[in-house]
Amino acid sequence: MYMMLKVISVVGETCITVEDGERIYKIIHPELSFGKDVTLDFTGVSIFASPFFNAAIGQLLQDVPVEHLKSHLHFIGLSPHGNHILTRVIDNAKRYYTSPHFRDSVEKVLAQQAQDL
Amino acid sequence: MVTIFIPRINDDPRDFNILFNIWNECHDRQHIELDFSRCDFLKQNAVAFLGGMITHIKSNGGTVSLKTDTLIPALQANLEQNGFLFAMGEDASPWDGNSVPYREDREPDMRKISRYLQEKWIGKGWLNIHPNLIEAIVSNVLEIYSNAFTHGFSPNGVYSCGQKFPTLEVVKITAIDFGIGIPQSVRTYLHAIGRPDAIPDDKTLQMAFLEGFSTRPELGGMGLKLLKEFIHANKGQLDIYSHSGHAIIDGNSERYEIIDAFFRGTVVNITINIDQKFYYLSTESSRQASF
Repeated sequence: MYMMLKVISVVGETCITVEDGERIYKIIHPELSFGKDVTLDFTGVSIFASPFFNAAIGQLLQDVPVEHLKSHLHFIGLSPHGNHILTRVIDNAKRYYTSPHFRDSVEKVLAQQAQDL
Repeated sequence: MVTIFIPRINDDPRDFNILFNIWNECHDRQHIELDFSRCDFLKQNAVAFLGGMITHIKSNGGTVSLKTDTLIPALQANLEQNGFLFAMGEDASPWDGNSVPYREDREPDMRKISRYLQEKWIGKGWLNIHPNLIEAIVSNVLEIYSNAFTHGFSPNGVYSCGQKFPTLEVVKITAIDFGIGIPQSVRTYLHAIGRPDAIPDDKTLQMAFLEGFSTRPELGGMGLKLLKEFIHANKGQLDIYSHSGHAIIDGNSERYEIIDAFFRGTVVNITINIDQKFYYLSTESSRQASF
């Protein structure tokens, strides 16, 4: 089973906001949860910001295993900058969701560092 | 009624000190008058700041009188053309010229802001910028607006103004919110999670830029990191002023310092090189995005 979603047909030429990211997430999350392959086609989209990708893609890691996403979720038509932001968002999301103590330890260290400075 | 004499205002740190001192002199007064007889130039940061300040005072029931008869012709023409005077209630319709319009965004309509950045600031054809660089610039600047609306809790939205300097091959934009400021946002968050929150303003700005730190519980916290990386690669400059903190990010370094003045909200001032050689494709991810 396979889903091809043209992102431009859902959110238009800009992928910026959390709200638009949530719209994509609500479409692809059930498909991925049921084991379908999903390809997101970003052809025609020219502006990207991290809040969109956090909501559309990053939060999939809440309950979809990374190995599953690796083999079932694909991206095409991304501009170099869109690819750059998405890569960084995925790296951050993997740390955030797969290392439960990551954020806690970062906050602890940062707060201590800031006090020491 | 108190009369404030507006001087020439550029976008160096001392100019921001002037703006913050004007704010502290004016913001809780009911009636003020702005006199421009000592001013021959206002950079984009001053236009955005004064516009936001005036609107903020008016929205709190105060009155602000602009002594437009004290404007020199060149400055008056610029403030008419970019829509500042019209937005301040003066009978002076803006026109579509070389100035980058002054802008007020009460709601986070990011599509409109994106169009402004592309059509009125850098993508209008005045400047020869590679489309990939335009995309990267607009995307990164949108992170600022997104942060302001998400974290700033500004009662009146975001005020901004751009400027372009074709001969210098740089563009500038300033975005200002009159919200709680980054230091307050960071301290509130640290307090909520039971961490020590007695941290100087400059250190709170430093924390906001660090990888892995976000003041919100959900996934996020990438915007300032991405912007910092872009500024480094572009050899541009990013200045953020919030409370008494000042973050300076440029092509080679990042510094955080305490300034003499205090501004409760947040000011973001960005200078970006538009020469293609500063396009940072080489630093962008060479690998295809995937899990």
